[in-house]
Amino acid sequence: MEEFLNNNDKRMPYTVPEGFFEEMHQHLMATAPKSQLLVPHHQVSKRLWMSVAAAVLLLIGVSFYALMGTEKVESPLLADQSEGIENYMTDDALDEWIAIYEDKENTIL
Amino acid sequence: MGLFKIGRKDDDMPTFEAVLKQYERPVYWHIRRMVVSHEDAQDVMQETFIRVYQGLDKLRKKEMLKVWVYRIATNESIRHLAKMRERTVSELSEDDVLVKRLEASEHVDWEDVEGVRLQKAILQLSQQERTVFNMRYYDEMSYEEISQVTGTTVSTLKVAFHHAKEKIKKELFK
Repeated sequence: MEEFLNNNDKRMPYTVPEGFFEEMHQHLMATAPKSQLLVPHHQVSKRLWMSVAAAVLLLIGVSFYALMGTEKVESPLLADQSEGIENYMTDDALDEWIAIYEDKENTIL
Repeated sequence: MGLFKIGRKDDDMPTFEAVLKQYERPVYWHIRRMVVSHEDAQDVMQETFIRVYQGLDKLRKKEMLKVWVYRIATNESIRHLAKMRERTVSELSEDDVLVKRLEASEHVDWEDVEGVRLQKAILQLSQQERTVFNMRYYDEMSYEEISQVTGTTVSTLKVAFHHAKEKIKKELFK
């Protein structure tokens, strides 16, 4: 067995049609350069899906950023706080109010 | 493994035609031993060299060319066998399917009785044993080269080759 496996004349019963290698050589030399343009179908699908996914992510990102930007300018919380600020007492009005309150207190007492 | 290491590309990197000339025959026989039928080997060979053409520009080291080409051929053959398994609705195991394909093949020298017996014995090995046996015995590759092609350690390959030889011996001389 060792001699058989080490024999240089290695047993290989497979054959090829006559002229196969020459034809294959010509065929590959002609078709391989064109294959650069022909991306296999599964690769096209993969690239297409990746592009769609990237576009959707980008759209979500842009929308989110736009929304955040809007909130920064007109935050509902800040808007509530700023609303009616003109009704707050000024220092003068406060002094006046205290004076009235003190008068009323004195009257009661 | 850095087949595509960043760095300067070897200036004397061969052209696609030179690579084809050098490897078309050994790669065809390597594929043929794996997929058995001539028609399938032809398809896998075509796919292999298209991938070689597409990737040759990115290969930096000339000395990795052989390993790289064989790796593509081996992977394409394994992929083809997997597709074949998916398509075949059969109770038969992969080795039985391959033996049936050998028996049905047109392009076999049936007068080479010993050669056919050896091929049948090889086809009954596991995929790993078959790959390492074929690469060591027919392609005369070193364990280091086979390791780079298959991504398996040298010690695992040595064990697989030893088992392969024992199984073939048992099959041929039973």
